[in-house]
Amino acid sequence: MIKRHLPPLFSACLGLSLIASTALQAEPLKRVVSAGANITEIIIALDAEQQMVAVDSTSQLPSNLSLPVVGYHRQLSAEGLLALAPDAVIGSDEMGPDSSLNQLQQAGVQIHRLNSQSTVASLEQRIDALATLLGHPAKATELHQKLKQQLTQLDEYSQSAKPMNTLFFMSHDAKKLLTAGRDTTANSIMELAGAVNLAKPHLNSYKPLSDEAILSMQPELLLFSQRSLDKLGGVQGVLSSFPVLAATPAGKTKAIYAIDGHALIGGLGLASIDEAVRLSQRLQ
Amino acid sequence: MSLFSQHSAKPNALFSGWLLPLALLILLATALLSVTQGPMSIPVSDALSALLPFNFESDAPAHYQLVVTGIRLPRTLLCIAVGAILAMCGAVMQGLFRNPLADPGIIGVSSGSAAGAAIAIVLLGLVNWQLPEFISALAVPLFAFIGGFVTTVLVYRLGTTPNGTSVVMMLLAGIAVGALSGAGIGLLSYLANDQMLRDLSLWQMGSLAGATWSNIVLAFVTLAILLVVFMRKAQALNALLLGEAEAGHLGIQVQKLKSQLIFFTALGVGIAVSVSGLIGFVGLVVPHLIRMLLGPNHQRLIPYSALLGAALLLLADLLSRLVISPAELPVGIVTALVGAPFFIFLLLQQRQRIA
Repeated sequence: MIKRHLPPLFSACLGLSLIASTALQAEPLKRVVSAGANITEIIIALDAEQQMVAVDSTSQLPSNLSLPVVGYHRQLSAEGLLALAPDAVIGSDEMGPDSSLNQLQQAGVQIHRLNSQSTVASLEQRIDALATLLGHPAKATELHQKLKQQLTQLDEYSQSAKPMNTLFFMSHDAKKLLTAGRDTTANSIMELAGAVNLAKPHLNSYKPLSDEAILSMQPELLLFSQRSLDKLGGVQGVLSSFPVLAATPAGKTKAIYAIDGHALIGGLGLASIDEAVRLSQRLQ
Repeated sequence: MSLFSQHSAKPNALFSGWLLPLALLILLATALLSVTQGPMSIPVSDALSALLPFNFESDAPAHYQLVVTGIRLPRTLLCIAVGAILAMCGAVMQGLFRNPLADPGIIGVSSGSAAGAAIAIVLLGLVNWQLPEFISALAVPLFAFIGGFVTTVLVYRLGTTPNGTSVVMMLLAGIAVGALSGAGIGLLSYLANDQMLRDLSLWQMGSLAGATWSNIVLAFVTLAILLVVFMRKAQALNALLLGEAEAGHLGIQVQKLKSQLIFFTALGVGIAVSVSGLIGFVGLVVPHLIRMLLGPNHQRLIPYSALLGAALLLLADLLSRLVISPAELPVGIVTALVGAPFFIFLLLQQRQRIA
């Protein structure tokens, strides 16, 4: 019975430990498990990958780095993680289950939950938190500067260009399209790049749209994940697989672009900003 | 009745000397294996001494204690209870339907629980009530239990006419209700966001990682109740093997027996599912192995199924922890990987018998 009442208390402790650690972090963490695509991405950008001992299954590692994978970040195994002897596990508020995290904490492993919202402010917070935990303040300043530059650039572009009516699709075969609605990283990338996501008022997450709906929205630009586009056989393949897309204004002008899939996983990250910049340049 | 007890007395006498100690030894051995082995390599002696109630001076690292008693032990205990419950319910279900391929899954308990869990994960998530945390932690197991129970009752009602319960009708009703639950899950997955979908599919694969002491107590209380009820009905189940009418002639109230046993198997499977998600094939494979080894007498089939079910789930769980360490495989995948080929083997055997 006691266990059931633990979670609120537990998260309160976590909050405190996060505040305490960011304020008082004396020694940078040496052995960190990164449980989130976004967090791994920032750790690598901070040049702190030597301090990582394992990552979760959503994380992307550069080809020259190979680390143990601890599984899906909501299904962490307490003992499996303990066997890696980490100082800390860093993930998002979606990390779990609480029972595992609780056990890790009892064994003296720090648990840090970082904000995972799809906003630029949340990304900046994550950079700061990780830089403090891992002890790379100089590199963080560099990242912030780059980010600021990119955001200014995005701002300028979106002010000068006319907003483009856009839809983003994922497709696993030549039969079905999933459209990105609200609360997706694809949506954030479109908005940062100054495009209008036509599906935003109608859908959340990735759902199929009817052919008639797609036609009536009259998109001027179609986006695909790079993987989907490759699988469908490029722009020509898309147009022949989906006649309805060929009939839209975007299909007629062949305005079909790819977004790097890595930028779409695990919320708004550094790669997502890069992709937004790349997209806005193509929109000019 | 006397015919049956006579019949069962002979093999009992043959086996009773060494059989029970052997089965208990297998269970103890697998339980010790489960406590001493895991992704973290802890010397067996340290693992065992961590289990002792007193702590003599040892230079073993302090976290060994936590890993053994805080992580492995609860899991081992939950495994024992869940494995035993599932295997026992499988044995009773097979006896009840006089069908060796019967499994708690086929009368719709599993799909009903899955639909219940989907409601808890997706609908409660969408409504987004700010429930106290301990209630939202309970929502999935509670809804899974309710879902499983409701479907069982529904299937039973559909299969029962004034003339009695028809096994064929119940199986068909199970298929129909299962399809309905499946459609419900499909609809809910359409409404779900990506996180909910992941949660739902992970839940459906079953895991014993969420072992808490309250779960363990619940599972063991259920196990004890089921063991008492099923053992008291074992003779009647034996009689039922002759056929419903014949059992009736032997003085057994067949209708009452069936509704009672269905109630208790639904209770057992519902609770097992609610604490561990869907773990298939234990209820199918274990009673079969026991029947092959010891014959169809329910007085032995039920308790030995419980013992072997516990041992088998312990081994499956150990595998699930070790195979892709430091990550963990849902245990339902391991039992299905072992169970499904065994199921096919059974089908082939049956086919030969028919041909």
